[in-house]
Amino acid sequence: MFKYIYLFLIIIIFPLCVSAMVPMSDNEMSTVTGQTGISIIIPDIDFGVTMTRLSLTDKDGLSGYPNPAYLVIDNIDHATFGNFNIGTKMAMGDTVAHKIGVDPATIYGSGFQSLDIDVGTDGSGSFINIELPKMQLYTGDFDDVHIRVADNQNGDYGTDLGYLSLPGLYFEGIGGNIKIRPEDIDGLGNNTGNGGIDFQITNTPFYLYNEKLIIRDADPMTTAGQDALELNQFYLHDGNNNPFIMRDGHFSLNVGQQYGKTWLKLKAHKWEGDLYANLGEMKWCGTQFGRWEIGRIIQYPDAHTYISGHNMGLDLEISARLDIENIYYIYGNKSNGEYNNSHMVHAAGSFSGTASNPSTWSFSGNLKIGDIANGRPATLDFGSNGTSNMLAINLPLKGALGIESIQLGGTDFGPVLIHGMNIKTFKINIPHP
Amino acid sequence: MKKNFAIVIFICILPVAAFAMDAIDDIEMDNVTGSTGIDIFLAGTLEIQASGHRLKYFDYDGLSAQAGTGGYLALDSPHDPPQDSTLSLKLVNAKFSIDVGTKNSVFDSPNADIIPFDTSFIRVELPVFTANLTFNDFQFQMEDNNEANANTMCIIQLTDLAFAIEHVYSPMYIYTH
Repeated sequence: MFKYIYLFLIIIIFPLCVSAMVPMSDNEMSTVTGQTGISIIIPDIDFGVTMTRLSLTDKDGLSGYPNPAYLVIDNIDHATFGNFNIGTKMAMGDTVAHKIGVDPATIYGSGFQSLDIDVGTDGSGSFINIELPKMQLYTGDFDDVHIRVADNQNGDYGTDLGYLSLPGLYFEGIGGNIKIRPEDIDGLGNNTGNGGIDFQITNTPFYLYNEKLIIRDADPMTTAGQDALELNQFYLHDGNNNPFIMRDGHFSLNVGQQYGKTWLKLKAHKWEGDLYANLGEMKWCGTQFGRWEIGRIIQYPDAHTYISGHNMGLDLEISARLDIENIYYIYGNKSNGEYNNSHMVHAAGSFSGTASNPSTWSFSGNLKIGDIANGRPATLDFGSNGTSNMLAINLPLKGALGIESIQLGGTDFGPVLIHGMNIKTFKINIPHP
Repeated sequence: MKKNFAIVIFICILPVAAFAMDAIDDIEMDNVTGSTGIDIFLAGTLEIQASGHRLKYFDYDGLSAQAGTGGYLALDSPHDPPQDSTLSLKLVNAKFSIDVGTKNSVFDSPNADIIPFDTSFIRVELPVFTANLTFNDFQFQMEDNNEANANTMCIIQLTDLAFAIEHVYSPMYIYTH
């Protein structure tokens, strides 16, 4: 009864408020313009995300084994991601620059930077313009996440794959610009406005840094401290430990039909920037065994990823062309030649030239993982053969791989080249039944 | 029940109080500054819930710019009948402050140094809160432009998913440029 009285009172009283308003005149309205945008100073906050279990399933199992299985990730209590806005955190000395030994003042400058949002129009149509703020995101607590393949969503009768800890993943953005607009589908710079999203990212510097990644054996009989692979102090930079700068990135997202099914297509039209990656420390069962320096990584235009499903399970094609100038594995003193290096690595669709003479090498097109035009996508399924649950991965591969110089202990062992690759089936079951 | 009734009556009567006010003229308005603000205290618990079981993104002209070749990216319940997922936003004893002002001196808050002088702004102090998501199974799938011929990538289940603003160290400022 009371419920109806509340409702009645609200209905009769709320509209009266509207009658107290005065209409706005045309003259007053004419002073309102859309010339300005909005600026937001993002507050310093701790933002937490927690869950106790994540499960993924594929209800029709594997080819020949129609029993379903579940990938279960649990014990994620207090997996917290947090702390926007680097302002106070910089003052506390808790930034990537501090961690990698670079002067923070030269990286972040002084003062804050707001998030600015505008809507504008240029020759290609209307767009949302976002000037990015300085901000920091990091994972505060992500320890011993348990990963297994099981019979059901609760993780029962599971086969353990291991434990994963990621206790210090940092992302720091230091300004930059993003333009978002309907996808330029006709390729002529005209917006068709019929679906698809287009992102252009220019002069956007950022750090990605991970303090520790620990992959631990799930067997309780293994001695503590002798059961883990640690990949520590990983970060992306510009070659001089400054933030990586996306100078000119152009990406799009579309959904549509091709090759007889519907796909989600992510396309990197362009990605310009000097990208380097360092891994400061590797440990195996508590023993250090070296570090890695990788770069410069060059991404060629028109890379793409197609994603869809089959009846149940993931279909995928990744198509890209990359050059990597150096992949150093350093196991001692680099200046004393205590390293192995793969110099000038090429991943592409096809090769021409004289194999023994790298100066004649020429690469073109994209290396493909999965080949959807020929009905051979890369696939991921979860299933069981009745006795063992497993992840089943198939990675068809098509293209060419070349390394101009392999250096072992600082000594050059010459070039390596694989071309004309067309691996139609490359199956991996984890764990093996 | 009586307590809830009293709260509702109070909420309903508040707008009526506006009728007792006199209109403010331009001269009086000139004297209004941003030196005061509004604090909203929520004593007790406010809970907002939203439920649903289907989320779809449609691309009309697909990958080839031709009508009829588009498709849907869909999150849908695999159950028959469909089972809803529910987002519950809960505020407990929350304080939410709003001020409007014009910057005419250097602020104590270093975050606000970048606001230009003589610029009006809104200052918001956010409350801490928790949002829980009861997430029933969702299948992640692609569908053609007729929402048919679904290809399912996987079925996802998230248990006890929650988002929270745990601490707020500084206010948010909003202004035009």
